[in-house]
Amino acid sequence: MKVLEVKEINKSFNKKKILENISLQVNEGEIVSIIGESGVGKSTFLRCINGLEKIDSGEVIINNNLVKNRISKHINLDIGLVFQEYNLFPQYSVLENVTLTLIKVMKIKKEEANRIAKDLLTNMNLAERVNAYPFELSGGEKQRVAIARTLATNPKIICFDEPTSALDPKLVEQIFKIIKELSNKGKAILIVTHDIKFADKISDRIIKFV
Amino acid sequence: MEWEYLVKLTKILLEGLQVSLKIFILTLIFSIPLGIIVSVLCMSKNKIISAFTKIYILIMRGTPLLLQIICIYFAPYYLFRISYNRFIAIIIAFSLNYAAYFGEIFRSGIESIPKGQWEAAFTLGFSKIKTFFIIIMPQAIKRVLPAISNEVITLVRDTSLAQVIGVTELFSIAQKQANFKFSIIPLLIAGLIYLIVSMILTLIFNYTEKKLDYYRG
Ligand SMILES: Nc1ncnc2c1ncn2[C@@H]1O[C@H](COP(=O)(O)OP(=O)(O)OP(=O)(O)O)[C@@H](O)[C@H]1O
Ligand SMILES: [Mg+2]
Repeated sequence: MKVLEVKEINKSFNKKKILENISLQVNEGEIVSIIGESGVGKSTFLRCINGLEKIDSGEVIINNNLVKNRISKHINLDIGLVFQEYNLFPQYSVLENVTLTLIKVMKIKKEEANRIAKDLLTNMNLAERVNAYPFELSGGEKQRVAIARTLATNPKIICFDEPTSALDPKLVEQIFKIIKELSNKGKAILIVTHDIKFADKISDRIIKFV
Repeated sequence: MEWEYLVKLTKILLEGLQVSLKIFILTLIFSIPLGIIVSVLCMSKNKIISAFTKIYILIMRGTPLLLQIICIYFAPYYLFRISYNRFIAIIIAFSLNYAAYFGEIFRSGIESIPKGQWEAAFTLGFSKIKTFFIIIMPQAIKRVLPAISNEVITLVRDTSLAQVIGVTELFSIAQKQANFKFSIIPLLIAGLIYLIVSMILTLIFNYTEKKLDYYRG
């Protein structure tokens, strides 16, 4: 079943065309990678489908909901983005980074939110780090917190921007396993990467942007 | 000068301090939320709103507070022959003036927070208002706390300007006593009281800064 469908989207910055008639589908449990040279618009594409940039034309359909102008909150919860720089909230602990969305956006009670967040963090191998603050974490740990935070809304689609760019080989192996496991649980995965070897190994499909 | 007089003098001055502190606290209560509003209006995408806000800030920072107090108290009289409570006029003038300074400080703090924080919150389904108050503002406040502390301590001293429209506060009482007794002692005691209040505030701000030191970023 397809959970993400992009139909002929176009996006320009200052009259310069960055995305031209891009179409793409991702099914439940499928891993799709986007590769391409620096500056072709890979990140821009992820930003467009996550509602961080307006598209000039075309359609984005997320879990059967058509995104028109602005992505609405409930559609937003169906798609998640793990940023290249992670963008954790520095003033909140690891646990709070995950519970914040559950409590403030999804209106889940605190105890329940804590339980869900601890489960997610334990799955990310972060059970011991729940009380740490983002500045105390290594890059790999930050990334896993960012993934757990994204998973809090239980999205159908998870996007990763350059998930391996800051990781050493051992951590690349770890993120590989995490992404595979997410796809086994039925999540649709969309990865933007420079790492052709990684894309080759992990993806069901690879799309090259030119 | 006898001991008895000193005790009495201190008592009188402390009564004046109460008025000064009232001005101080009420000004903070009004000017901080107003300052947040000013900062948001200043960053508005609507060019007319942001231009008006910038002009307001320019006037408030570019003219003497003394003049602003006089205008706010006397303008209604000259325009409509209405006079009103001096103390209220002082609170209005101080709040409007400090809101401009706080507004500028908050704006710089908010703008210094990386865009990625807004974007992360957006992708997690936070509304703009929630993002502002839960994610952005706490980080901005940490960054601008030293600047806020400067303004707050300046405000302690500025309360003495209230006497210009006849509000009896600490400094005006000290001056009256000094003239009355041909002595500088009342003024020195008043100075000491201002100093103590500023020291207490400095301690509170240092403590708050330490408290916020639990994270970086
Ligand atoms: N907000 C913006 N305003 C103007 N131009 C932009 C903006 N965002 C991106 N661009 C431009 O769009 C183009 C595509 O950028 P994008 O970040 O999507 O590339 P990318 O494929 O992700 O590159 P990389 O592999 O280096 O991350 C670049 O030329 C960039 O300068
Ligand atoms: Mg990129």
